[in-house]
Amino acid sequence: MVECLQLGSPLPFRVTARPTPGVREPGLGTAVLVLAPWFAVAGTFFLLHGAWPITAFMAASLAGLVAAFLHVRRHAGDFEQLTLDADRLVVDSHAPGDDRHTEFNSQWVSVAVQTGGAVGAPRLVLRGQGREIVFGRLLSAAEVGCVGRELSRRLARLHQWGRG
Amino acid sequence: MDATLAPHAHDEHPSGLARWLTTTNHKDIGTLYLWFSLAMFMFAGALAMVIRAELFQPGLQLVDPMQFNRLTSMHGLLMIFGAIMPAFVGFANWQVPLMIGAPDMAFPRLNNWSFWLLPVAGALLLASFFVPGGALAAGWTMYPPLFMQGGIAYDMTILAVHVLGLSSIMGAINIITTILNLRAPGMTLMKMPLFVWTWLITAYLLVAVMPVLAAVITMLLTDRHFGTHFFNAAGGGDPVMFQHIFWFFGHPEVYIMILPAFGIVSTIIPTFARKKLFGYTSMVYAVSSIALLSFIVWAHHMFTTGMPVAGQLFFMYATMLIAIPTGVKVFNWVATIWRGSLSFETPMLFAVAVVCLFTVGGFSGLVLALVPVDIQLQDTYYVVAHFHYVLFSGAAMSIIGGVYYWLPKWTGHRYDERLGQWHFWLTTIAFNVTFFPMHFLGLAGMPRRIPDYALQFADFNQIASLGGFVLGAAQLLFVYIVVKCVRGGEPAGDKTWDGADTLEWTLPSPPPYHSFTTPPKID
Repeated sequence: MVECLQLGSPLPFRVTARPTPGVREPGLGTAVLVLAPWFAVAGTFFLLHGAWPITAFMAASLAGLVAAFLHVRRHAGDFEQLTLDADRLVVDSHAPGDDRHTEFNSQWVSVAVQTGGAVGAPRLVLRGQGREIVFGRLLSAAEVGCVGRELSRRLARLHQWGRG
Repeated sequence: MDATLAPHAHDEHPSGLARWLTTTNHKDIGTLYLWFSLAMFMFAGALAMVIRAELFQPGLQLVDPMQFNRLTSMHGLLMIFGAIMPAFVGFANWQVPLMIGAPDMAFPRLNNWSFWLLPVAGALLLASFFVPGGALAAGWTMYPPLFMQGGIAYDMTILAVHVLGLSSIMGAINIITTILNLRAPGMTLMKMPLFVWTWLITAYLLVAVMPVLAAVITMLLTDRHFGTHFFNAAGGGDPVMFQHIFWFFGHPEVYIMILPAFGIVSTIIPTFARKKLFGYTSMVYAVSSIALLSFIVWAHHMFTTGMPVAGQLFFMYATMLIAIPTGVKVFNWVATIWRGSLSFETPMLFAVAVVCLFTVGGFSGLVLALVPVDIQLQDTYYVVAHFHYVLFSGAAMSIIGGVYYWLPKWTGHRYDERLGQWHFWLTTIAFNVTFFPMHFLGLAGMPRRIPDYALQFADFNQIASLGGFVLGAAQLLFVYIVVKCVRGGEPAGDKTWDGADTLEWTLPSPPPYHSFTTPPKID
């Protein structure tokens, strides 16, 4: 999901990407409450009757479900934000244990949409002052192309304005 | 001032082989599941044609008894794990995100792995035909001690079922997480389309029972190769325990294959009756009740193995209880049809046929639930008739109806309605010609899983075989209709069916590669 915020024309230009739209508080409690009592009763029954591998496989299955919900909860607050103003292009990103803040001089930054990688999906690459970062981990392929085009258009206008 | 970046007119996504191998898009993965399922359906159907050809007359004509057992075992295994279950997962992949307004599944990469495990398992099962000793011949239920005596193909089957089970569990976790976390704002649980509800409950069933299957086949494997004696009576084990554990998985598995079918029928009927589904809330509770009851009826598959009378009575009455929520569903479908503004396009024809024919299968199930009757009919063709009325006319025909219903949305083209109607009538008539006589064969005592039989069963077997050949040929027509529709045809329009009211019909046909990137607002 991408939100584009344009405060005054043409700058600053801001794009915020979040993992999924409509994501709600993970229903971990609901998900586990449905299964855990059942697994406890059935798992204990099989354990007592000598079929202990069933208990182990049930525990693994429940652990998989819990891990899925914890993953969603852990990453629900992730975001990537790109802000372009007259002087700076700032990229902020947040993921569990990985907060990043990168600033470029907006007069010297270049933007490219590269197609490649293992899955052939487009990547939005920002380069400037000897650094290169990829933006758009949370964007779909279509959104990467869209943000890339819009950002290129605005940077081109900004560079023209700087020269003028 | 807010501004929205509209994606470029053409959706950007990988193309070629890389697209299909590496795709994380729910629509692509749904398509892969459906094609895989169709391929397995046709292969397992071809095995059934050989079975019916062998049974066309008494005596041994085409295959020897061992080969016949391989055909019946692999037909069952491939239809259940290769055709029906993947088809429903294909529907879930395509439809669940579209129906709840989500952009994709919660774990797209996991979704990709879930699918690509299937061809590996399918290849293992097919390859098992060519190893020394031939493919699994111990029945899809894999009962020991017979299963212990097989060759390497039996180990390949264990590995394949493990892989299929892993795929199912991963898919189920993905579906539960998606439905509980990614619904569009305003879409409460009780506003979800019934298809989504049935899949949520099915996914829970999968997470609950697939570990049981995985464990029991692991126990078989360790009994075969690592010196354990879980099911080996000579070592203090109990082969009947295998049956208890297997059916503890196996009966919920039946509902795993039928609950999404209920969801499809509950989507199609209101559309072509142009009415809201009658008794939505009671439908949700009925599906939940069926799922819960499915855990306490397993031993009705084992009345002849010997169990206390109290146990027999408990499982008999528990099984009969399932008729109540099932009756609620049938009543609600009929009430939805009642005084509706009906039209009978192909999906509706299939949905009505499912209601009628599944009810026949349900009734023969009630007959089999009666302990004294079951003791007589155990392992006869009556059972074969019963489960084909449940699984072909219940599950497979709802899948076919669902394909006709959503194919215009998926492809952007209308299918050939005239051919669709031909397909429906051929399938329905041939199905009944094939399987209805099996009730009489079973009542007369013809045992199942035999390549040869007594002369008095010849007439009904010939009728069943002729019906079977037409049924098989009719499915070739289905493949032709689907391929023709995928390749082109009259534009379907965004809302192909004027009575459809779920979210997917608000999107263009076919939907854009990335849909609902901005969540829809549900009133």
